[in-house]
Amino acid sequence: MQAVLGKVVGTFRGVGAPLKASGSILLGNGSGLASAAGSATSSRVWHGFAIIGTNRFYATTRTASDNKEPEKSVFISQSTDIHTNLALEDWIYRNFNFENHRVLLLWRNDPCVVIGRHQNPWTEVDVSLAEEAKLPVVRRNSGGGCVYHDQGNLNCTFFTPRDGYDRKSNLEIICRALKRQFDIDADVSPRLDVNVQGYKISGTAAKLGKNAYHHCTLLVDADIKKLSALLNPDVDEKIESKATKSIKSPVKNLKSQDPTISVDKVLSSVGYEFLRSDSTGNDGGEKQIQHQRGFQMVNPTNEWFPGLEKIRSDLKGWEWNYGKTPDFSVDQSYPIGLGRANQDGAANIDLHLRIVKGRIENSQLRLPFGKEQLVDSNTLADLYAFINALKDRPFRMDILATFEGLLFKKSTQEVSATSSSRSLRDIRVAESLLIA
Amino acid sequence: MVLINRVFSTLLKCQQFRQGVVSSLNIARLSTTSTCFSAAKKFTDKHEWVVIDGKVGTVGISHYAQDSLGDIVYAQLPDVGTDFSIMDECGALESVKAASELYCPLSGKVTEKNTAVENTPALINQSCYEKGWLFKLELTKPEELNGLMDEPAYEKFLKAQHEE
Repeated sequence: MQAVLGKVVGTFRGVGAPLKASGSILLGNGSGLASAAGSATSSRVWHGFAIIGTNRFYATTRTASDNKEPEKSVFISQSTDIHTNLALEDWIYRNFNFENHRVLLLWRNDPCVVIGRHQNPWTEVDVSLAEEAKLPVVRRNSGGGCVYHDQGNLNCTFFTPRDGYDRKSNLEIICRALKRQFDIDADVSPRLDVNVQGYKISGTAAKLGKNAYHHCTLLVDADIKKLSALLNPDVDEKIESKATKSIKSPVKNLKSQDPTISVDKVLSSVGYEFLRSDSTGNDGGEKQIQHQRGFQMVNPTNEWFPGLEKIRSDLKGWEWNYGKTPDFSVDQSYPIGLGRANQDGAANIDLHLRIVKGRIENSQLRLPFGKEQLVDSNTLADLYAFINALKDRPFRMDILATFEGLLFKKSTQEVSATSSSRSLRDIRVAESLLIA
Repeated sequence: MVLINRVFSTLLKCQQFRQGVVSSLNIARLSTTSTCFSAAKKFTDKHEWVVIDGKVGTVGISHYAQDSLGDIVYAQLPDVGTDFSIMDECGALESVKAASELYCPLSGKVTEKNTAVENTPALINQSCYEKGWLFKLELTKPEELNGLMDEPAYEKFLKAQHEE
């Protein structure tokens, strides 16, 4: 394959020339990535602030003995597909050696919802609404809470060796960038959120293993209404689970601070600030940039990153996104007997479901003792047939709607219209909203 | 005979220690680990520990690991019956928004997991060497044990890491 070399050299001081991730710059040739980590052929040393294509994508240009301070690169993903970007992040985490090379990956996605590794999608996300709007709900490898992404949101992944992991200093780089380029005062909270005037603009999560990464979102100009609608499912009281719960916080976009801001500008300024900081995160000034490798556009395909497609398809699968849900129970009570003549008050019929690895392991119906006659025998037979057929089926929220429909002789659509399952256009939300 | 005597005297020491008045929990933990179990407990450079009883190893994370993770809020443990090779990723612990991979210290098949820790992950912080154990596995390559550190070696390793 022919190498496609992109070359963009600029002063790039500030945000005057934002980088466009428009797909024209590719890196390396077909063998570049296959030669993989550790092929430390020091063929070139790049000085200055340049984006240069290389035929050895991450060949180490200096060895540790040359210079102890690790060099830094900013990678900009050219994909806006959440599965591809998470796969790229995982690929870099698994295959790079960060001892002498620190990497900041900047990426953004088409609308989607991303949940933490140990979260329950049904308690965190209005899954029915996401399906209706055709938005993917994706489990990531890092811990933490649930976030909404769209093209108005910038994602930053800081890769380090495990012992170089320092979330606070990464977030401080972001705060310095916002101050330097946009004069926005941001601070890092004890929970490692980045706040502007008390509103959260960034959510953080991390993965630690042989290497480490810390990634965070930056709300620049995201659709906050959609965010709020998707991340507020009305199911808390029904579901009992040990899964990691998101902490809800009021959020806002950076755009509310500076109407001229854009994701491109924030991308440039965060990348620039990263390159002018040393490996411990301290500002090294303009001269620090001379030491770094600069910006590089990254085209995340299986050709450049062998094995990427396999990671991507695993991330897309039901087994990962829903099957990895920590075991949980659903308990729903349905009032029966209300308003009926000659009946002695109201009673509840209780549905209990136990969900193990995303599938229904056990389903039970509890009838009010002594009031079984409140449900007619045909309905009861239908209900039993329904719950008995649930065994081993993947859990879905509409199982509850179907059950309710059978019980009250209503269609599932009628139930949906009156229950918590909503559509995007009907949502009305307040100005300040809640997310993870 | 000498060996038996030695074992006996170690046991005796433990016994005496247990009977003694425990004034501080930390001192108790340190002493327990160094006098009673030092012969058995082995460590990986990823801060897992393993204690062998016959063919079965009990696995947990070290005091240093639990301390540096902070409050653990979720424990994802391997399923019983799963086979692992040495240093395979076999689960994760989540603390303050970070998922930390668990590595299987030795090759084997998982025979039991600590459901108490799944229900109450804080047990790992409170009692990492006892109530906070994570899982047990039947070893398939017991000889791998030789590659792990004993307690003094692990402490030395921690010290060296700290000085770096």
